Amino acid sequence: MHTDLKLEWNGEACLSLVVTDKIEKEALVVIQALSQYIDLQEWSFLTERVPSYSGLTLYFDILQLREDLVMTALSQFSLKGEAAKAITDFKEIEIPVCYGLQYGPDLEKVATHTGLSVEEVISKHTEGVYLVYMIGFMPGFAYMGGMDETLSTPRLEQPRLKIEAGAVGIAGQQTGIYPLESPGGWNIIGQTPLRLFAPEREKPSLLEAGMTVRFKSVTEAVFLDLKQKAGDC
Amino acid sequence: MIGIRVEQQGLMTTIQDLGRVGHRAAGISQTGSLDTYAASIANWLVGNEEQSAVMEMTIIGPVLKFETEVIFSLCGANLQPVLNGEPIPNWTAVQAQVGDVLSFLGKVTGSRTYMAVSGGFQTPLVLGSRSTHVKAGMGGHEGRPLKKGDLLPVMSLNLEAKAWTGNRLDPSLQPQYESEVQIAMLPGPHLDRFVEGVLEVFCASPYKVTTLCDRMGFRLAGTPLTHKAAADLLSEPNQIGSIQVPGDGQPIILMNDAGTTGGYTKIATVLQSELHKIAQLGSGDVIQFVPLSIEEARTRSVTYFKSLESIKKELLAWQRPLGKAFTVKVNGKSYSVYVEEVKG
Repeated sequence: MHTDLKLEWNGEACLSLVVTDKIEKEALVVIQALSQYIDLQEWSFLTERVPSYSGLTLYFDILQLREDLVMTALSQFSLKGEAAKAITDFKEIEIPVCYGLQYGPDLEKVATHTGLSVEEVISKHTEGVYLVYMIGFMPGFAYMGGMDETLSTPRLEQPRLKIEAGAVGIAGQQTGIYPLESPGGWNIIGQTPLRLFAPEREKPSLLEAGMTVRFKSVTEAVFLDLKQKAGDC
Repeated sequence: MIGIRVEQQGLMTTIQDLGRVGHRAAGISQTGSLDTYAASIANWLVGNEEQSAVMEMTIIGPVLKFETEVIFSLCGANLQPVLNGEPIPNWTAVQAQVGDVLSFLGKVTGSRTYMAVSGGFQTPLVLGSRSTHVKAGMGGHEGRPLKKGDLLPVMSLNLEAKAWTGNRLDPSLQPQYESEVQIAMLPGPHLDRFVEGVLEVFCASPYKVTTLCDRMGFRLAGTPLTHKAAADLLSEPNQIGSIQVPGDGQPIILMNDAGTTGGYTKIATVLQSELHKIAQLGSGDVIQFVPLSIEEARTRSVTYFKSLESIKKELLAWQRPLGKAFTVKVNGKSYSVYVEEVKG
């Protein structure tokens, strides 16, 4: 983690506040604190703020922007101070997953590649505690950290043309959930009935940076039941 | 439901407004009109606010049938619009009657044209915007590009709306779309990931727009930009106008439909006030990048957006012909007629 906030302009209306250049839990906590600090400023010229692995990116209305206010506020935010009083209570969410069957066409492949049994793959995946660092790439897609390294499996050599929304997969050292139907090269080990992205919901993205995710294995019957319920709301 | 019927879809026709703002943290791209200059003016010409939903047309325009009376304007690229076979002007508010057909003879300059209708297109709002997010299949008309048979809802016309007919943008403010353009940018933020002198190379060389240009991004071809080591870094948030450089050293300008995050190094960002120029480029056009300091960039953009406010004020102050409006029927066809008293 850096000792001071690094400021990077992405053009004249977008400022990244950089805290680190690697994936680390300590930085996530500080970035959450920074987000809250920025929210307290109540700047009318701030149109968006996006937490990421490396920091917080702010988007401004150019005509309203008060750079002096921004710089003053940032100079008063201490990285060291925040890192020191870091609290680690993350909002936890449990994601039910039906592993294997037609929902996890690559589960066997992951088992073979890792040298684990199918049951071991599922138990290691569900034992993990995953931290959401960032939502991006597509609506509702969570960049998560914390997967057991022994589950690492390289992406498909030939990506599939269509992966269902809710598909749970492994790509390299990452695990993730496809929020929308999409082409993709991840190894699909199961599916969740939850809707990771729903534009009509008050919070369109189910996951957000700063959350902790746990996966829970459910039977097909439970999966189908939950899927029906999710479709209703 | 009253509206405008799509008889032929054109190349890539979508409903857009100024985009969906405030949801990047949920991974939702802003989308919206690529050329906000043309789209905003199209709206002001027909008496709308700039955020009303418009129809964005790309290179090959659609064929549209008016199933209701409409006041509309076409701004941006000249695609040679004709109404019932008769040429009509761009950058001007025009009235269409029931049964009229709008088509285009072919692109002359530019790439994107915006059609505004009085009251705006009335497709449903999704998360506060009518812009089409094609990847997510949401917004606009059924979350997708328009196709034959689609009916786009509009507001029914009143006498007041008809008064905008004839409102026109001063020709001096109508852009000339050149095939070689200078684009101002702010260098950074990942210059240190490239070899020394990369900025000089980037600014000295012309970059050609390839055929791979769309609402997500414009891939360019020119002198490769060399990285010190890897071309990628930890995925981080993008900005519309970010210029990313993958391993092959060829820059890509990210546009409105690009993903909200990306993992390629960024060499520079196009100014927000220059994006409308990018929107009008097509395959074969050439860009010369011009670096600015942050102060220069901010001044340029503030000046540009303030000038837009002046244009808006003037267009919305359009003085309609004074007098009374009548509907007159001649040989079975109805006409709106303004009668002005002759004084003295």
